[in-house]
Amino acid sequence: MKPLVLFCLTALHAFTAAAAPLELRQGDRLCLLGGALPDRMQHHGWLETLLVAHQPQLNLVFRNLGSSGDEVATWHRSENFGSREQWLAQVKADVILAFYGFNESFRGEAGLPKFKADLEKFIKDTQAAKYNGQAAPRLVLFSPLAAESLSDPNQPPTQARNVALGLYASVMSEVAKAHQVPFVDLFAISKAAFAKASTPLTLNTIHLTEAGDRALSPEIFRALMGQAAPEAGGLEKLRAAVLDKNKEWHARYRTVDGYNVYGGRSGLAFTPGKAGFKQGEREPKEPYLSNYQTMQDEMRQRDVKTENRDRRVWAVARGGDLKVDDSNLPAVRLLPASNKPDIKPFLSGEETLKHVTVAKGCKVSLVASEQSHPALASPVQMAFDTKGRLWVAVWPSYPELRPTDKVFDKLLVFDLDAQGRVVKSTTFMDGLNCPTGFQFYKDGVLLMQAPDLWYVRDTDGDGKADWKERVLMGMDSADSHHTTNAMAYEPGGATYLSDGVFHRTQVETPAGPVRNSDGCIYRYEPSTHKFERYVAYGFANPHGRVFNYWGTDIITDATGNANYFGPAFSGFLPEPKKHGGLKQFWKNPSRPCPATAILSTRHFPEEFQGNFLNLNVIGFQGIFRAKISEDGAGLKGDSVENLLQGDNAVIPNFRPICATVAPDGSLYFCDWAKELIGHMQHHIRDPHRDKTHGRIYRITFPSRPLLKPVKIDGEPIEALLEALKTPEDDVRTRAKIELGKHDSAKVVAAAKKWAAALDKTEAAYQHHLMEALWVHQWHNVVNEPLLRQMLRSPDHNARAAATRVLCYWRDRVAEPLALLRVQATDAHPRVRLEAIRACSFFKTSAAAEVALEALEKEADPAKPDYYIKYTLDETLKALGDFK
Amino acid sequence: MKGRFSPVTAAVLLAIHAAGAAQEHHHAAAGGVEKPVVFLDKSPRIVAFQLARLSDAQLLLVDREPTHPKFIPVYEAILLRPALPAPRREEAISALARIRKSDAATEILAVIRQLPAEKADLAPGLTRLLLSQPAADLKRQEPSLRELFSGDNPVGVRRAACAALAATQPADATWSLAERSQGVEHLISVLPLVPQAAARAAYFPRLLPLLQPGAPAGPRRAAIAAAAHMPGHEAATIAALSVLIARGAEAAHCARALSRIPRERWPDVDVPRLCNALLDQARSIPAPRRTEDDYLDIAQLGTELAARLPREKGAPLRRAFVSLGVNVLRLRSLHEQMYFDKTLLLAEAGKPVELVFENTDAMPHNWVLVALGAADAIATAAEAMAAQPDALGRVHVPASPQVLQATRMLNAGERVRLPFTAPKEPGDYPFLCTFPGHGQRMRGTLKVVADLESYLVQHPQGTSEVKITEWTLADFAADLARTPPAGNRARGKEVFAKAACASCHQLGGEGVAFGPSIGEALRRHQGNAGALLTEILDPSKFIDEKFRNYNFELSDDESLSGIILKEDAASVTVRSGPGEAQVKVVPKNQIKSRRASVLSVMPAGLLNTMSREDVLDLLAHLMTADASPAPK
Repeated sequence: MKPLVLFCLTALHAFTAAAAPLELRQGDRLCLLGGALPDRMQHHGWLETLLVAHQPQLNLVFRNLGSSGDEVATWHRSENFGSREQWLAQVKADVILAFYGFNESFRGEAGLPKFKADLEKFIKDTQAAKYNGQAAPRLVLFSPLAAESLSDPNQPPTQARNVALGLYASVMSEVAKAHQVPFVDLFAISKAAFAKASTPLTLNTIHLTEAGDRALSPEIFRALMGQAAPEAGGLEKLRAAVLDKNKEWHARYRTVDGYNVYGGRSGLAFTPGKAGFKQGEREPKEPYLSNYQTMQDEMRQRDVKTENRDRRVWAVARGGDLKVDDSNLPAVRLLPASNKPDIKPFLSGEETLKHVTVAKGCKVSLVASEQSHPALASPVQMAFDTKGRLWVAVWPSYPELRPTDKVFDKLLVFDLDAQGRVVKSTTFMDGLNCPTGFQFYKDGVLLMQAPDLWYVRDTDGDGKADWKERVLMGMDSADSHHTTNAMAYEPGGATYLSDGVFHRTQVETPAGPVRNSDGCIYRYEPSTHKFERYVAYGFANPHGRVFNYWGTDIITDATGNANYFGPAFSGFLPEPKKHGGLKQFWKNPSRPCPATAILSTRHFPEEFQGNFLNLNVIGFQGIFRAKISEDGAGLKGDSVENLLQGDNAVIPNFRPICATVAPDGSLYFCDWAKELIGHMQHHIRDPHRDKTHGRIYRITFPSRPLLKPVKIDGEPIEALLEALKTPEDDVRTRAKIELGKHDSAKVVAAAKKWAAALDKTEAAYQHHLMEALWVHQWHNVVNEPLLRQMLRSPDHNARAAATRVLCYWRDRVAEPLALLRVQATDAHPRVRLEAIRACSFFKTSAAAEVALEALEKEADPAKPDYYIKYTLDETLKALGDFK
Repeated sequence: MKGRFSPVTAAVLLAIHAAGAAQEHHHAAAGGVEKPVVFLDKSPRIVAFQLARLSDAQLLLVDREPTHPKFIPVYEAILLRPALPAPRREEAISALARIRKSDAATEILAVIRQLPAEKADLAPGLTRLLLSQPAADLKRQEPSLRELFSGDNPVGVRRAACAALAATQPADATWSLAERSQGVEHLISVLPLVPQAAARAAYFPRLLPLLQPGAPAGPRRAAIAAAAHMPGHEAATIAALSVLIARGAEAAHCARALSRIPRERWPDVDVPRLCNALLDQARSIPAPRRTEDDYLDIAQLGTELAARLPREKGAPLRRAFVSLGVNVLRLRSLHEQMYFDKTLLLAEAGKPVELVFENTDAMPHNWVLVALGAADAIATAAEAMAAQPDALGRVHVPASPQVLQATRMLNAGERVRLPFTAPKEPGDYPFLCTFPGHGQRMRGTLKVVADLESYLVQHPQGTSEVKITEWTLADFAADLARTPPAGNRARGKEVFAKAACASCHQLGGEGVAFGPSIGEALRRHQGNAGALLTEILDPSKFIDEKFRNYNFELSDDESLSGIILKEDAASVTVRSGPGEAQVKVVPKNQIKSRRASVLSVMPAGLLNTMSREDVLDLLAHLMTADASPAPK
């Protein structure tokens, strides 16, 4: 098949589609199906607004069933979510607008026959169904969008993509015609719109921004209705009503915690006054009450709330308005407040500290509590920004928001004085649900709001968020406390997100959909939108990940507090494969672990430097400390004196949940401050779940001076590069975050100059050079000479780190496998391991041959280094599928 | 025991297996096990690493030809895989011999010599393989065997070497070498492996002095075990062991050895004296230990011997044994036979008994006692069940009042004790294994009698042991050469039913289509009875990919094995047994790993409980019963 011919066909069909393929009737219920295209439409709302405005008397109902990553024959959802057909029946679809072909198109020409067959089956099934109980739904097929060519060098090329997308669009056109189904050629429509637009209409060549949705919707309207769309001007109020309704529907259809709302743990049933629970009982007899009963009651409330907002949409569409009245919500069955009468009263923050012991020479003090700052309820994540302010995500709604809640989760900002006292607190963002993870990016924050990752900014400088974009969609949250958290930066600028067991994530990326079942850690480059599985492993709940001074990561599975040497199991594996069992790098004294940190601060004495901090919240409620040292190709941890421990007989609700090093070198940590914490062990709406307490504490080493904070915010590029000489990991990360705000060309030019001028006699010279390389990586600019220099650095840590950079630049350097062959036979096993790991990404057996070379350096071939053997095994597993 | 040592020469083996290997390559491409990419031209350590990480099925897909030294590591790797069927090891040995221009015996010895410590379990199997080599080949190895035996080598190496020496050179020579090199115990312990009865028996004069009460404990224990394998010396053995028992030396070992001597070879001995000696020994074991093997072996032999005595002498002895402990019913599964080792157990109505069941097979088995006449109903119900554990954690045990007693499902090598009270009503209570596919075949009877004592007087044979013959194709060569092959079709039909072939295979349009249809197999072999028999005797030799067994590791830490009925992008439909309820659709995202098994689902020893006549009759029935139309 020749693509050119197909383009012509497509264009012809777009023309024929102009004759009003869709006739809307009174009370029609319209459903949108497909991937991120319809998924994003519910958040932008222009097409729906135009259709409602066009015929306001029809009282149209829109229910968006789109989900990033969906395909015509792929429905990747957590357990018992309900099939596509069940949902269409539940919402009584009269009209189905089906947007397919985008994710499928990555299978190229070879995937066309299956796509065609799948599409035909979908059409036949749809035409045979009566979702509204009376007649087959009226179906309209939409082709995928074209890929928008963007001038940003960080964005991928689109030429090959458009060939594939064109092929899929034309096959859809043929199938639609053969089955007499109306078809809208979005490929042609978007191509024309992209050509006409003066500013980008997509975020990343594939996903429409709000401006893109606004620009394309009138064209889609014309193709659907055979006439010009109403003027968008003056429809803002209607659109706001539509978005308000869609937000409610989204919270229902894509509810977080699905595994507890409809999946396996919805069948946990509890009874007042009795410990323990029954399993697999969604509809138990009284006095038992299941999560399912309560949460399905809440889902019915969300249905009614959505319907209440449908009515406002109709009223506004007709030129009037309506005050939404949610007084008609059905009741929710709840457990009476008597099943856990022995909850200990809370001590104040200061009182609590009397029952906390710290390591010799350390001191712990209270920074803030719910008494001084009522918004500080259930803190879950914390981080210092480039201004030295402490950001704290609070999650009072844990396990998740109720439909009737008036208090929402928040992102708070605390300004601190030199003594670490709070001088000002601001709510950067309110109205959140489960803000489990956030990370600073350029002038804003990446914030997890399942199922999406938002990029949020304050554009007018009033300290509150006023701009947002969904940069990733489809991160599952079937168990809300497994939602992406501990979003750590690697030194090269990618950040890491996670999934726990029960999750079914599917994220659309410019390189194709990324899917995973259950636990996984992902690597995400915010500037390029590259997103891939990083550690595909049978995790329960990988809460913790930290990168040390040289960029080596330690990964923690929270549930069992299993801690791993990250490089060993972060090679490529094709989905759905997972890596085999890896040994733990440290013998954990107890479990579970909500967060980890590296104590990188000269405020603490030498023996504390670089310690691995491991927080624990049940039984042992405090912070373990482990010394990290080399173990062959890997690392190992050895426990040393605990940093901190609460007396859980007196303060059972003391739960250190996250910790971070402050700019002055002290260590801050949050106390979740709850007696009931189990998601599974108690009814999801147990009345004794606390929603008001939360504390922030600070650990110092009084006999040593605090560090003078390095100035970051607003500093010129040269000063920020100098800051990269700072031994404290967090300072260097903040310097690179700040550099991220600057023009990449200028940053890279300055970094080269800085690297050339470095004092070669400095002890940390090789690390400084490595930072220069990482700055390049952060700005997505390849510097092959510097890379080659670092690959052969005299310091094996630098050689290993550079090998990691080579892995992610492998598509842009000359003969990457030849470079890796040298690394694979390096004198140091860590470097060899990084080379073996990098080989897994090449998808050719030639890379397996390179990886195997590493064995030549093993002292005893019969007993190779544990990590070398493990990673080599995993790399060969990955490459086993390739010739 | 017969047929264990197949006298097939290496050259023939090679020819067969070269063809077999070609077929495997072809099949595997269709069956989902991908041929791995292996670089054989690398340094030995790299080659070894690559081969070591392959599954058995993948390893068999690696290129190998008995022509080039670069394939040596592949053959060597095959030799070290315990789960691969013996023919693959034989093929590897032949190939190594050809590549290195040596003979099989040399190669086997080389492997045994280099056996890593963690693979020591392979030594006995390799020793058997060594002993099956042509005598002339072994003879040529004598110098190096002597060196291996007398040198400071690992136990497995020394034992293999002296076993071969015992098979080739005169007993005196081997014995004196053993004495010179502190190897007497090793030599004695391998004597049972020596295939030639006369060669074994030649050592009896050497053993006899060791069977005396004052002999050193180590060699004596070995001699006791070996003495059971000395044809023609049964009387002397029994006499010697009787003395040992009477002296209280190694009574349990002696009892075990005595039970291994075939009953028809027991000469007239002083049974009452032996019986009394056993009783004394049984009494000397403290009551709490009377459910352990040592006691049970002694008591079992004693009870059995008592049954051979006239009533007035036997009855008090039996009563004495009964009064010592509870009636213990010992039962084992037979390796690869899908049978219990006994088909008849005895119990007294309403009295406590204890079942000790040991699963010595590779497949899971349980023991379920059912109501009179309920065996078929329970077997059928168990087939239809999903593998969900019941309240007691047992799988495939139907919730039925007709199930009187049941153990849990035992995995390979497990052992369970089940104390219970025998039914109050006398009768023949069936017991069976309810693992799907086993229930029609793996059965026996618990005979509950009002008075065990008087029953035994009338039926002195006691419990009935299943007779095992390890049949090989060569055993039937003469019968198969005749046209038409011998065999009674009508009786064959009964054998077919008794062996429960139809619970997995279709014949003439009847039966369960879990395994390949017998009619199709017959057409494929163009009516060749020998080829059909080979498929039954060695089911893993050629596995049709449609019936390849896969082992799945699932995300919930469960595992599943079975054949793949269907596979699409999202799921795999797996049939783990002949029962309809054993078909399971597994979503692919729940599958952590899958491994193709090189072993057929069909056990290898299904014919081993049959007589020669049974086998020939069955074959006659199979050859003629297929009435289904040939496929177009």
